[in-house]
Amino acid sequence: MSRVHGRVLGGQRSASDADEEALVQAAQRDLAAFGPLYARYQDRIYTYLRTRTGQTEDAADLTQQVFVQALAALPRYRARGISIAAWLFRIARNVAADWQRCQRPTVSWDAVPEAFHPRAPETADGALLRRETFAPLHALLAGLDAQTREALILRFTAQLTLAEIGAVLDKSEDAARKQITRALHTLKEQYHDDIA
Amino acid sequence: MTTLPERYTDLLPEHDDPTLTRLVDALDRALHPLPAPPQLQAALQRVLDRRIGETPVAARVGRPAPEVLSRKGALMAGVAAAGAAWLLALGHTSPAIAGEIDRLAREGPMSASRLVDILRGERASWDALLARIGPGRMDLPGVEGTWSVKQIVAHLTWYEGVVVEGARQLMSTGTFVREGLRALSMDERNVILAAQSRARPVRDVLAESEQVFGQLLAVVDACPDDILNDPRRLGLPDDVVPWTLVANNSYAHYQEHARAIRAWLDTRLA
Repeated sequence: MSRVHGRVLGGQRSASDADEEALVQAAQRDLAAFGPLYARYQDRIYTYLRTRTGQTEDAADLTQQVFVQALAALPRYRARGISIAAWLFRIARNVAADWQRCQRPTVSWDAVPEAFHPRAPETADGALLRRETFAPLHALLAGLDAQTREALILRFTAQLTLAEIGAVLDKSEDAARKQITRALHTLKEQYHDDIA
Repeated sequence: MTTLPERYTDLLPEHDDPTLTRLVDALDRALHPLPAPPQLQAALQRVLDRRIGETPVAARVGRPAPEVLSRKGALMAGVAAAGAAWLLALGHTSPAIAGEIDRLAREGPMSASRLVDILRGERASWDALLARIGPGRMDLPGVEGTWSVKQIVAHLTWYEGVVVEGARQLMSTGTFVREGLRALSMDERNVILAAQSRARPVRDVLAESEQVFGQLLAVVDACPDDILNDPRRLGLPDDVVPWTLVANNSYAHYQEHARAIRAWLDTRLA
């Protein structure tokens, strides 16, 4: 198992999950304890919404909206078959869908090239290299249907487990696994050694 | 040779395909989460702080107003509920100027004409501040949290609009319909208001602000002084004097946000 953003992926229950449940219970007793939870999820929620909206500022607004809704609904959250991560991303998905209904009809993939931007400043040469490295991959992703792209984002950006992705997308864990592995095999057909 | 990151072994249990392994590794690097903007983190912290420190408005409203209920019976019970709904829809307090409102309240009953004068004077100060900014800069984000001046103006207008609409409904029908954004918590509605106003043209936001302010002046001007001063007439809790509700959601609200705007202007001029 490896840890990413304080979570352990790979599908098995871990000490990290238990820690997270303790954090949730603490926040349910006292909202002041909600801080560690949003610190843990804000980057992933923000980046997910960044890919859904294509707009930095809208993504920031919507991220706020997600956490405001989560704060309001937290007393009613019960960890019955859905983790706090899946619960938060369900809220995020609904918020993004509401936003898109008011904006434009399709899921944006415009943001992904910017999601390739570095987390820290880099040189012009470095930036050029990065764009060149990931541009072909972006082109491949853009060719997938919106739902499949969303499943990949939920795995690689939101870093959800397959069970959590299933919970967010209203599918079984097995269906989520099939969707993602099918997408990987589709991408693989077009993926060459000179890409990435 | 690329090694499959361990966290993806559930995707590729037979990870002996080098191309798939490289693809997953590339997706992992390409789609890694970005750090949320610092101003978003600050805004989220403010939301949390406000939630923690928020006076439970429902508890205040829940306090009985037995005199009203016992004297006026069922009709007034409806008015009390309407007043409570109006107060909940506003739910907006600006503690920083509560002292000033208290001072004015202690000077005696407020008259409609005096409140109109105060509103006009404070509006002139607000307009002067907006003029310093100019429409060209009203779309710039980050003035207060992630909000632009335009979003702040739209936010202020919404609350003034609820004062206008609430006053009209209460005076004419004795009811107040709390639905849509009015039915949400203050934090929820503020976030939605900010999102809704982001794409609106500055010109439209300013025009609406002017229009609603004009309606507010008209409503206050037409309001009998006793209603402005007597919470029981509108079914409000005893400590919520109607005119302070108007002040708190109009000029006092401007002052609350003007501080952030001035600080932002100062940083731009520095």
